[in-house]
Amino acid sequence: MTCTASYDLILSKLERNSTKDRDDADYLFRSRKLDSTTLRARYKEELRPYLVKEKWHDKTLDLWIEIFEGRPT
Amino acid sequence: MTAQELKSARLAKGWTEAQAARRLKVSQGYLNYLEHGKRTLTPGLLQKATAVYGLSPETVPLPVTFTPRPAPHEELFESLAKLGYPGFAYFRSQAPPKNPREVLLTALSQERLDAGVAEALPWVVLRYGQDDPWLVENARRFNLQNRLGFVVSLARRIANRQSLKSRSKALLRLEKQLEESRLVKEDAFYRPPRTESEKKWLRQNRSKDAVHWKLLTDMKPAHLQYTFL
Repeated sequence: MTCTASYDLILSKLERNSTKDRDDADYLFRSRKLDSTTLRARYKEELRPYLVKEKWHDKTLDLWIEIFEGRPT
Repeated sequence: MTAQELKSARLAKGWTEAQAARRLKVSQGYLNYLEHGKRTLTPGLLQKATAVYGLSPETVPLPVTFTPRPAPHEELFESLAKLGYPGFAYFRSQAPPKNPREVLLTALSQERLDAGVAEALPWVVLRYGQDDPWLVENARRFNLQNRLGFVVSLARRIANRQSLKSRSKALLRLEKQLEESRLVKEDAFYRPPRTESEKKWLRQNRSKDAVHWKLLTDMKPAHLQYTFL
């Protein structure tokens, strides 16, 4: 799986945001050594314009990035 | 299982005593004694008979008292596959089946669960759950009543959606039993929150059932992949 596909996969799970989604996204983020700046940029450009509750999802992304970065790799 | 039930299980398969004895790896004479109540069925042999005769895993004997122990994910996958959970149907194992009540409590007693195992538990309750003193007492002994109560609530909601009236009633009775000893202390289901923010998020976004059972979890019926029996 390419890095681009990994970002896509993480963003595809953001709306549902179940514990399982967070765990899967966390695993992908750490194992692929992804970058939160790129994730935020991809979210802002490619997903956010199509969301209904943008601010809600902004907070979800913040929560996810905190989880990804708060754990040892 | 009584001697007569053992005999009925063999006859239902259309096997002679000799054919069944070969499969159970006992002598035909010993099987005859067991079927006539002249020998007592040991827990090990009962477990074997359950597998050989294809009986419900509910007939597998339970330990008098349940003792929580760490269980590897693979063991839980295997146990759930043996119970017929479709999510792990691909899992093949030679291990004898375990009683669903023991599988349930073993899983609930783990500090962390694999997501697939956590999602399987409401299915186990939906299929096998009943107002059962062994289950309720052992859940209480190890303070697992809130986790079990939450899983029963999820299973009951699924039963209601599918109009499984008798299952729904049985699960409501079980829920009421657990309700009597509901704990005030906050706990987590599936895994503890990883950060303070996640804990806060879970507190704000959990279901009414999770609030009621004082659990930090966002699991809802909509998250469950296999809900049909």
